[in-house]
Amino acid sequence: MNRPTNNAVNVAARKSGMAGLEHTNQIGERSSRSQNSTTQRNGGNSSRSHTRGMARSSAATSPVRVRLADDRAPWRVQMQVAGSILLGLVVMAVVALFYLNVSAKTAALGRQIQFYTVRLDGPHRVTVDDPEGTIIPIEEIDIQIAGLRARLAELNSLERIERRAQEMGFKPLDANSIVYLRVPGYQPRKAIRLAPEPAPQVATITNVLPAYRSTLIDAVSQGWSSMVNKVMAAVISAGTPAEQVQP
Amino acid sequence: MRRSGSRRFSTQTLEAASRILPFTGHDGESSLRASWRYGLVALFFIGVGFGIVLQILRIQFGEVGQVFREEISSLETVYHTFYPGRGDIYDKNGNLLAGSRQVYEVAIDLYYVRNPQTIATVMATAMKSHIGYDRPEYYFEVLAKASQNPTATANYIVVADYVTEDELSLIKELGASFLYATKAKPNELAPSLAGLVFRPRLQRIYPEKDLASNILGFTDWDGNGLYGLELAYNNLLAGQPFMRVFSIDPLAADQMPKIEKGGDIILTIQREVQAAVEDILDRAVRDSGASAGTIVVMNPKNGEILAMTSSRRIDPNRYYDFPEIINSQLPFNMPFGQTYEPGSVFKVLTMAAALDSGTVTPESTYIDTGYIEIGGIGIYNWNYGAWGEQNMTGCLQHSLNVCMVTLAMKMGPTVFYNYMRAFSIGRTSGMDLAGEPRGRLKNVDDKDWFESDLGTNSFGQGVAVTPIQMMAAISALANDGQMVQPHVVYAYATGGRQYTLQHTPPGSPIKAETARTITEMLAQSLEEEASNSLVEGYRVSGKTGTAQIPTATGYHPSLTNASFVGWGPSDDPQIMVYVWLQEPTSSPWGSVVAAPVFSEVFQRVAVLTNLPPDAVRLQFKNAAARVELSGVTP
Repeated sequence: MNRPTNNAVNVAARKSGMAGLEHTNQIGERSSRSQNSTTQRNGGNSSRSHTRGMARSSAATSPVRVRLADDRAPWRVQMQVAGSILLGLVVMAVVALFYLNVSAKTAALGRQIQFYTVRLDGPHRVTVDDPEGTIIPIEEIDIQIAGLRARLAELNSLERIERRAQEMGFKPLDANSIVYLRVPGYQPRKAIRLAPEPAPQVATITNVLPAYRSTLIDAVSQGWSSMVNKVMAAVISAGTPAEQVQP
Repeated sequence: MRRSGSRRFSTQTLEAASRILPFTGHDGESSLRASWRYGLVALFFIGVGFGIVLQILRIQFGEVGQVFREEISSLETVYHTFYPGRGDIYDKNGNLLAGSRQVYEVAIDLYYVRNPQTIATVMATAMKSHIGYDRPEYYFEVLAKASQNPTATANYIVVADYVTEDELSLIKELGASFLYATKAKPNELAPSLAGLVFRPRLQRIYPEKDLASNILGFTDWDGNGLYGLELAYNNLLAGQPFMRVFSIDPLAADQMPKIEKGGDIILTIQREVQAAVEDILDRAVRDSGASAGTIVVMNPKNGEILAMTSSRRIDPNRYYDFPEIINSQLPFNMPFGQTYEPGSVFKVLTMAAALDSGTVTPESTYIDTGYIEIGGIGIYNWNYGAWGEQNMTGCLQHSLNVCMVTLAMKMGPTVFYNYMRAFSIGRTSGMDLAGEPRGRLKNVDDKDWFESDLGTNSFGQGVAVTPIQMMAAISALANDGQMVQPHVVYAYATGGRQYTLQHTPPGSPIKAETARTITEMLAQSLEEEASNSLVEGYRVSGKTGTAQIPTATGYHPSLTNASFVGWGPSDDPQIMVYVWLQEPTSSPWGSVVAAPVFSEVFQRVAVLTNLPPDAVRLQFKNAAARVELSGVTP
């Protein structure tokens, strides 16, 4: 009995006026509680009809207060609490999902590394086809390359080459049958180079055009030479009989 | 009142509960009871969860957890040492002399073995031609190993090593045929190679077999260098093994760094020259009846060894088949590792010292009586004859011991030994191989030095040198007075870079003029003697040597060391050859057995190194000079 009804609350709110939001909120909160009590007393009216009732009573007073009362409806509060919890759970789930995904990928790569590490030093099974057989670690490829290089060297061994040459009719070179020729610019065979020398490669790079690097003396001497050449050419052409000039 | 009070309490409680619990039923009392039930269930699960968390924390951080932590710490990491592939050895033209080939280690993983009989049968079949496994007992050995029960410490047993590619292919083929095999009889096991595993590895291989084996040496089964270059450059060739810690935790797995193979070596040796020299030496040893022989070919301008061999050669691929050589007291590389009394080839150093010190000139003469006494002992010429008046060229041409003793006495021990030390006699040559002996040259201050040693040392007796040390000394005569350091390694490549080795000249014991003079004297002496060492088309300089072999009781009465050292072309030496035949039986004299070998080697090496005959070379040289003078660019 001592609790105000919704109308009483609205009236009280109206009396207090719209002086401050804090006060209005307190009224709204109290009206929400009274609404709850009213709902219980009414034996479980639906919240929709209850809201309509509030809307009707609030419409007679102020639309702002109706909205405040509607916002503080219990199901909305419950939904907000539940929503917040669910949102938090969803965020945590997403973070966990990312973490799990990254961890799983890292672990998978780690397992792959471990697999190749074992494969490098570990044994291969004779009876079971290796599912990763097409992917060969670099170290095993190096071993294969070394083996192939040795095999190539065996095929190119001097003993084998000599035997093959003799089968093809060749014979060792006789000193008296050699004819020496002088080849200008001939470079004798050099030692094999397996890798570049460690000395740094020095290269001179300039972006300045030659015209910008010539001095005044260079320009004068160049012009003088050009003029002399033209004069000499004119003199020679003037002294040459026309019939001797080849087309 | 009680009832009313109780009722009022219930009502108040209900109202309070309705305010606390948002979801209450229409019936407040029943809803309150339900809420308590829910609360109890919730409290129960919360309690259980809390208990689980407590237990987790207790295990994680309590004493119980310590046991687990200690146990896992021993298992979570695995230490492993990786050994990189051994570097290769090439000749100067890039022919592989020592490399590595792929072989396999075949083992049994006992945890997976299904049928030991099948494994034993297949292994015995596949390895029947492999040395070491071609025994009837091998089948039973494998069977016994495959029949063992696995234990925590022994579940991996090697049954064959250094299995070739062909042998492994055969094993795989046989294994594939058993993949879908069924039991022949109900009480028998199905044939299976399950549990048989293999892993690749590298094995040292020498594709040219015994070619240059004296220089290369070889490695043991584990790839450790034992002789020659393999030993001297073991650290470079083997690379740097590194230890890596592996974690069983996949999240802690890290990419393994690239295993850099050992460094590669490029030799000054030329394969074709080496083969030709070895062929000539084998024939020379056979024809002369020598117990052993040695030939070294060097470029006197820079010390590069073009070929170096001795008659004791083996196939390094099968070094274990030559225990008589491996365990021999004689060095595997004679020209580098064995000292001897060189005899008359040493006279070129005595003459060089006498000329350079101004003691004599080429035209200086003396009367050879065939005998001289020094330090209380008498010295005779090699034929016990007197040669009368001789100039210095005659001394060399006739290899007169008395003449050399006379020169040494004129120089005096101080000057003579100073020159010999300048020639690095009695010291190592510094050649880039392992285990070089020092040689022996007495000093005047030594307690065991007598005046007679001056006389015997002057013609190459009583001193001990290796052929390489002699070549290093005599290179001063062929290189304008400057000695060179003999070496077999031209360059090495490691870490993606190639490093060409630069060798500092050991010194200049004589003047350039002296070197040219004695080279000319030696060329004349060979020509006037019509020596067997003369080379058609090339003017060469050289000196024979015949030295008695010292024994525990004095010099051997008949056995000798026959030597010859020569170089050419005399006007521009590019090839120096040292020949040493040990205890030849066809003739004891170096001029008979060693000189022709020099001629043949020089001729062959000149062809293989594109050194034209003197006439052609001088013609080209003159033509080039004319072109240079005329300024015409060809």
